Amino acid sequence: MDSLKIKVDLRGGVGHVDFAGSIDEEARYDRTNLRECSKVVFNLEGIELINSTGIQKWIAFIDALVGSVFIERCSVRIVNQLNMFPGFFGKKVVTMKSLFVPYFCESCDESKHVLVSCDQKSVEFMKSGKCPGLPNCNQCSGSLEFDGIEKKYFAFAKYENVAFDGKELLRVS
Amino acid sequence: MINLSSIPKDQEQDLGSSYLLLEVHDSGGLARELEILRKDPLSHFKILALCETARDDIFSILSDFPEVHGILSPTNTLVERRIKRILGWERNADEAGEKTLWEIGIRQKRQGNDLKPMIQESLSKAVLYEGYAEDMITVLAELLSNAFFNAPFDQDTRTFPFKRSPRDVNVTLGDQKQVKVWLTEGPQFYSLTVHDPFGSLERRVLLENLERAAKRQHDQLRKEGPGSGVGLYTIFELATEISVTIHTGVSTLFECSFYKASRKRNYMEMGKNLVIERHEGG
Repeated sequence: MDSLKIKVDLRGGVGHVDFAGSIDEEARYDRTNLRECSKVVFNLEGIELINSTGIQKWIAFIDALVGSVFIERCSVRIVNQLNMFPGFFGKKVVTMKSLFVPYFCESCDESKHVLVSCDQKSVEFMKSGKCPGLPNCNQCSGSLEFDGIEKKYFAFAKYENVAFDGKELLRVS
Repeated sequence: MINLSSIPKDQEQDLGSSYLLLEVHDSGGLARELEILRKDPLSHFKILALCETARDDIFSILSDFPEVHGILSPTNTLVERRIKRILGWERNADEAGEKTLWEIGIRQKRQGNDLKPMIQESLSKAVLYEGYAEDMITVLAELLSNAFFNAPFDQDTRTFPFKRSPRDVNVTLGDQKQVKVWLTEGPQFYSLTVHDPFGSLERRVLLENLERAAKRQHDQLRKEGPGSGVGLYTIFELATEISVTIHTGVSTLFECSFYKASRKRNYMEMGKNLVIERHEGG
């Protein structure tokens, strides 16, 4: 049984891939058919779990891709993995387009993961180990606080194998 | 007093979350040398202290330095007390304020999948940061992978029958042996404990794997072979307190505690503690 659901949308040589589920030993990548793509765009928001055996298979999958890899809606879990394992994307230099940042709303007493575009200004903050802004809560409109240790969470921004591009990569229709 | 086993400075892009490994042999001069390290260019490392002996005077000094994220030692009295209670199956709920939420024995690796919803259900009413249950489930997966693939040892053939098996194989333990898993809740922690009936792990191998993974260099992840060699490091990163007790040839007990926190920041500020003990024979 596949623990990872992979939805592929191939158009004009660009592969848009939505992942949902677990990157673990049961995950199967052999039906993704992305070898001919010059660009692949991964939506990683739906990844719920990752374990060490899964990382090994994931890296083999990434390394086998020919085209350049773009990451959008990168979940907090993936960012944490990237911080723990600098080689999480194998030998590829990946381009991150947007990622989720963990915040906390004191008045709602709740975690909030907010999507941040990797534009130039945000990337400058992240590379200096700082949070790219403090948005307001979507429920109470109060100020959100970063929930974590900024220097640790944004450590990946200095990696040589991670590039940034906040411009939207439109789906070809 | 301290031998530095540091990460080369050319790895600077990784400094934000790298470890500096310190071998601590004595308490004499320890505080002064840690103060010097604070001012050193290396001070942006998290410190992982490897203590030759378990002594309260050393722990006391190390605990004064928030830069010390982990203490690896032969024993730690507080943790030891908890381990002994578990090993002796003497869980005194009144004494520790702990209660067992569930306890289960499994013989097949894939039965571990049934435990994921049990964890989610057990934590569903608690106010915890987003991703807390998933972190615990990840730790469970690492512990079960270890218990079903690395630990089983065949006394007759003196071999590890499943060590080289692909990790998606549904290993079944023989001889009516089983892996026990239980989840307990205390006032400040949830604890996930996994017990295997083999006692085959080597303390040295565990520490070598942890050290290699914590350095986060090019050899961090094994690309060949069935395991990636970063299971213990993953556990170390996700749990607050880990104690491993190996009774050679008898059993291995992994107890992983997770500090209850509604904010990830509060959780991370609790720091880390890892204790690995090995006892010869049963």
